Amino acid sequence: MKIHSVKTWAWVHKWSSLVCTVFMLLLCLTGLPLIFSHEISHLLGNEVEPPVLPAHTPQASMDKVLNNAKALYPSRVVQFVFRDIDETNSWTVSLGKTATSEDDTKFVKMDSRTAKVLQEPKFNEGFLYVMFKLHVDLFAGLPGMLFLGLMGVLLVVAIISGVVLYAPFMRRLAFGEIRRDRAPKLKRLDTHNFLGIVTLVWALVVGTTGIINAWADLVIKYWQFDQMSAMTAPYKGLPPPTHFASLQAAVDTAQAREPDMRLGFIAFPGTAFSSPHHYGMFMRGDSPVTARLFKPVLIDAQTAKLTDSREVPWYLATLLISQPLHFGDYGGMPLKILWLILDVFTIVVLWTGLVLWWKKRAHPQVETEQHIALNEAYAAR
Amino acid sequence: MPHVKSHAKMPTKTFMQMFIWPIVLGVLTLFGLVMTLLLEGGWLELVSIGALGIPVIVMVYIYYVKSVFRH
Repeated sequence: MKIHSVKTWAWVHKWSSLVCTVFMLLLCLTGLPLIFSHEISHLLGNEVEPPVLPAHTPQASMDKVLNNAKALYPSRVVQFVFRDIDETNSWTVSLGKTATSEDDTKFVKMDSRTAKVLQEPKFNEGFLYVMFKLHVDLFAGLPGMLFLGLMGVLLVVAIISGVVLYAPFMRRLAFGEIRRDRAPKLKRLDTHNFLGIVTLVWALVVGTTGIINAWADLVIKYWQFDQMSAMTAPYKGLPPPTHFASLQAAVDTAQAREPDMRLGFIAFPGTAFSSPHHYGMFMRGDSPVTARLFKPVLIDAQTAKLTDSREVPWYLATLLISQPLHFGDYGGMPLKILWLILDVFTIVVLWTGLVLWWKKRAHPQVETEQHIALNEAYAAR
Repeated sequence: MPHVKSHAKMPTKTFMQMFIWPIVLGVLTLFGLVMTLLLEGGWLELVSIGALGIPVIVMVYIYYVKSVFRH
């Protein structure tokens, strides 16, 4: 590679990294507890498991589950009923001030067999909530999300330019060679290059899926505009329903439409995932991929009859598939532990990169070509 | 720029010499990430998580274990 182009790549690597490093350190640090959010939640007592009942205990009617949850907050509006991907014996009901309000939402976790209240989990306060908000939007809503997405783009640029720069620095070094017995600078450089090149593909995957996730709110808004409005077109202009059909009947209709799938979550009328006239029943399959590719089934909230059901379009499918690849939640504890190790090593790459730049500031006369020449001079063992 | 004489014993490496291990570990990582998502449990899923584990083990081994032996 020509020395001129090495200089250009070095400039790209330096500035793309410098701008995003502080935010990437924040994302790596806040991401660590989020990998184990389920386990931490249990440890902190913020999530109780439903009691063990004899196998084949029948499920209670969804109407009963819903009414018992609503009884705690009669003045509130039900927004969603949901459960974790591997949960079979509970439903969590979220109740807001209105169908679309996002602040001060109440959550009630119900036993799906006895329809009894298990707990009122606090999903919007505490340690994990702070970590989550810092990780997703810096407490700044959509602008915060898009800003972090932009930092993700810079990370990808930094990774690609870093791979290009790997070559001129490795011409005389063996793979994985860390010069520990020389200047600390060389050990730092070798650590940065080695850990950077091994975590490369993981960091690229988590980085790009993170960028896609930053667009989640906008993608869902577009899906409403593009698909939901078309599916619910016959209801346009009608007054909102005054009485509602049985929720269990609506669930049964959706289940009959997709007999091989199971219910993932229910979006209530007026929320972002339904229309004012419908229950949005989101069905999932059983494989890791199909369990995340929800299939929406719209049920008329007054009659419990099927209105429409469509496959999710490519852009929503992309978002849904990019989520597990970002969270690392699709391979049980072994995958979570790998995510943890790779995250920690990424922190080391970011930190050594930052220190390399900081120390080099004191010697601004050192040019890139000198840097490479010095690096190679010290390659001799 | 001061003249820096290179007295390295190792000759300049070719592109493939430099990138063969990064490519192998990168392919294993990608294979592990994607196959784990596509498979439905079972022993094959253990293989695919194992594929993702190899680069991590290599990294930890070279960075910590190898240097311990050397010193």
